[in-house]
Amino acid sequence: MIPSWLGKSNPAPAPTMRGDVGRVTFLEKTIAATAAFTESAFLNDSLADRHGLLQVVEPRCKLAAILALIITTSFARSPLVVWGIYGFTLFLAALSRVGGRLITRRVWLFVPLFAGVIALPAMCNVITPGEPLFVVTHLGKVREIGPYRIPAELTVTRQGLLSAALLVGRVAASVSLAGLLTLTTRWDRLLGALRLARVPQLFILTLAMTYRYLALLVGTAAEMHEARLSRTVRYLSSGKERQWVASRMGFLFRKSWCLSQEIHAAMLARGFDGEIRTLDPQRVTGRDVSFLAAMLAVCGGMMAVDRFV
Amino acid sequence: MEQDRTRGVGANGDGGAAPCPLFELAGVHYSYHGAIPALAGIDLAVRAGESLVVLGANGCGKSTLLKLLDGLLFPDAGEVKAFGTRLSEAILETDDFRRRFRSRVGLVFQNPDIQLFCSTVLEEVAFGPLQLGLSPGEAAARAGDVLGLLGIGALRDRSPLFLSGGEKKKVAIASVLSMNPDVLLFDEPTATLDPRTCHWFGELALTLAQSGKTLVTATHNLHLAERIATRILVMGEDHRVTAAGDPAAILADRALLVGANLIHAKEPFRFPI
Repeated sequence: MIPSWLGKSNPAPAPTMRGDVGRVTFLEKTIAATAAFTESAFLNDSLADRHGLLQVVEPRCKLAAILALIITTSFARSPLVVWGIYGFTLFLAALSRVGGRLITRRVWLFVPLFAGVIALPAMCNVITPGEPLFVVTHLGKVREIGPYRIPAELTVTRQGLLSAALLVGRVAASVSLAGLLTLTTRWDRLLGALRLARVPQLFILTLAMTYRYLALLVGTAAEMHEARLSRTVRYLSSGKERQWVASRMGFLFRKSWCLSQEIHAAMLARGFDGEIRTLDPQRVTGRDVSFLAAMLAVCGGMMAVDRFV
Repeated sequence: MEQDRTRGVGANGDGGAAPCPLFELAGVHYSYHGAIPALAGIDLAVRAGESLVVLGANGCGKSTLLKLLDGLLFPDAGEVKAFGTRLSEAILETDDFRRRFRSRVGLVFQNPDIQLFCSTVLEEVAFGPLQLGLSPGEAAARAGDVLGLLGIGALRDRSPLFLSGGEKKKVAIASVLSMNPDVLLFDEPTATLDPRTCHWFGELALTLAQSGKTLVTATHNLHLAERIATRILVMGEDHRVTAAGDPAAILADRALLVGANLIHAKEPFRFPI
């Protein structure tokens, strides 16, 4: 027997449109954007399937070339050289038919977050004393805060600006190069190349598993949100929303743990022994060696310029 | 056909005189986290060339049984023998045994999403053969053959993540068939499939059985069991074997099916379906 209230018609009035149109909440936008970004960043191999410069290079040679460029970026002391490498990366992206907008957007989303926070104070005379370029503000008098001496005038120094340019340039170039590598290489081939480059098997396996169940977890997160949305009558306070997000994060963590075990079992069942084998392991050809040699020459040239600038 | 149906706690799934079993389970107990029972004293023998259907309600331990047969789980008590060798984690760490075992036994998981992890359908189907040491050329040719057999050749360059449920199931089956195992373990193969794809699976299972493959299919789909089983094992909600034997006798026993929660007492069900 169903309870009596369940047998009655729902007393709520039929939905009609009154007042202002509602807004999409921050949470909804975040989940939708995360799902879209994950799909485009990790699950979409369409860029790797294009016929461009980097796509046709054998993954090991490409990995070696990109690593060489990243190492050069790390050792370069001149902002001019570092930004030159960044420019060269965009040139490589264009030759690989990867949209410049895509790679710059992806990089400049993170650079302000991670490098900008450090670089901004480093431009000022509090952190990097030197030749002042312009005054940010007048503080009135000199103050001592711990080991720091805050001068009466807060200025951006030439040395500070160069340090910040160097730091941001290094991050931008390195992240762009890494992004270019992943965008132009299928994941399974990239992991195979890492294995051949003697990256520890445990690390490769962890990466492979992460990639493999990422899609499922993103889908689950989106479905959980939709399921909740379909039963949401009135919007909750932001505090309650945060509580819900935190609880779902915990749930997803547990689910990811279970999934990793299941996927690993499915891999074992099909003979996986920790070694990644791909269908068409590309052979290193003269073209690949030429590409690697050219990239090493670029690195050498950049280092030479760095010494004399 | 066997007529050795037995009932009750600890019932044995063995039949009469038959070839040496591929799998032998004796007194197998398994529980998750040491607290949630899944199998409670299973005795079973799986013989070469038979099509054994394991019938049981949700949560009775069918999937766990298949994972034990595939050497993915190991019993808390009792033993599982495959091809005359007791399965253990240590023996499956042995390269030679693992390679031989994995090439001879294939498991199609209930959820195809966990089984499909490569970039394209072709790579997915070639994954197993490559792991077994076939050259990329041989693996690709074998994958192409299996895709053709299952009628999904047009999907070869698609990403498995973005296929429909039926297509995913077909690719999951293809990914195991390409390893050419002698024993195929199917975990709820028709769950979430539409009627046409369910029928397709029945036809495929019959074809595989006729070609000499040994099939172990865990399901609660009685229609499928009637079509493909040469022997049926019924698992009760107490995680034990309730009955085993001839499909005709099992499927005609309404009280047994009701007791195992395979049909409802008020549901009109007659054998043959």
